[in-house]
Amino acid sequence: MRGGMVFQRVKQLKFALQVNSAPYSSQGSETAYRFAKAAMQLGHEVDRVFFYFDGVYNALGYSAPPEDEKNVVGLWTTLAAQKKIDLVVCVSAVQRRGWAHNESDNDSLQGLVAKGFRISGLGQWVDAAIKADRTLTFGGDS
Amino acid sequence: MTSAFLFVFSRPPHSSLHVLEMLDMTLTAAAFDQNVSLLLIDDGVYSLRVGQKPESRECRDVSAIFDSLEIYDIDSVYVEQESLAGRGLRSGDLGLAVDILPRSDVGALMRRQTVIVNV
Repeated sequence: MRGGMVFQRVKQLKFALQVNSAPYSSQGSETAYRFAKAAMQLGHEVDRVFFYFDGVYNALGYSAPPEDEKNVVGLWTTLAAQKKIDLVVCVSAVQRRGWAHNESDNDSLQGLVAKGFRISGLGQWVDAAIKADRTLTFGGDS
Repeated sequence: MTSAFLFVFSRPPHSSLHVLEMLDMTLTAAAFDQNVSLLLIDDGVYSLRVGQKPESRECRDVSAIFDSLEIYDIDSVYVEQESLAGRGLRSGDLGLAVDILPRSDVGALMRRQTVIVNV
């Protein structure tokens, strides 16, 4: 490197994301989606996105907006199909919001979430946050 | 692997599920043997106010959950001094032994963390 120019490589980072707001009512989920896409395009890793608080509504499998409107749930499903990214929906947040019969197990709740998402617990968030270089939250809970 | 997690509580306790779901995150991080701290600022300080009667509004008694932090080996609970003073509260009004922290020290607390959750 003597005398020459030093080109610094951008360090590749591992990100853990958390989405806390519902789709359509605020920007949080879509911003997280665009961040995840952009980060992965630049060679960073986004291993897991954890959906918590009202963010769990981003995973509602029956979401079906008119065809000429934006489909936020569909954006995530498509991303999960294209890239290796783990979309985790918090089971306790889902149960609090009345998505399922009481005492439903994860398997039956799984039938309610859109393709590409999976139901699991907060431990998945902690695990991702521990392993990540950066943990980012999107969307204030409202 | 141990990381330092700081959970920032800035909302009042009973108007939504927020504090309960924040506490769930906090306790889960503690259950994973992480180094966990809490910071109560703004209306978040009301969670520790003694004399709440949550049962009169079918609300969960969050102070009981804060009391249980010790069981999870969480002993770092910070309350911002200015938030307390601005609401006419003193440390004696809180149902938990906490560290009262002046606003000017909050930055230093945050710099010691790996993950800060401020939702």
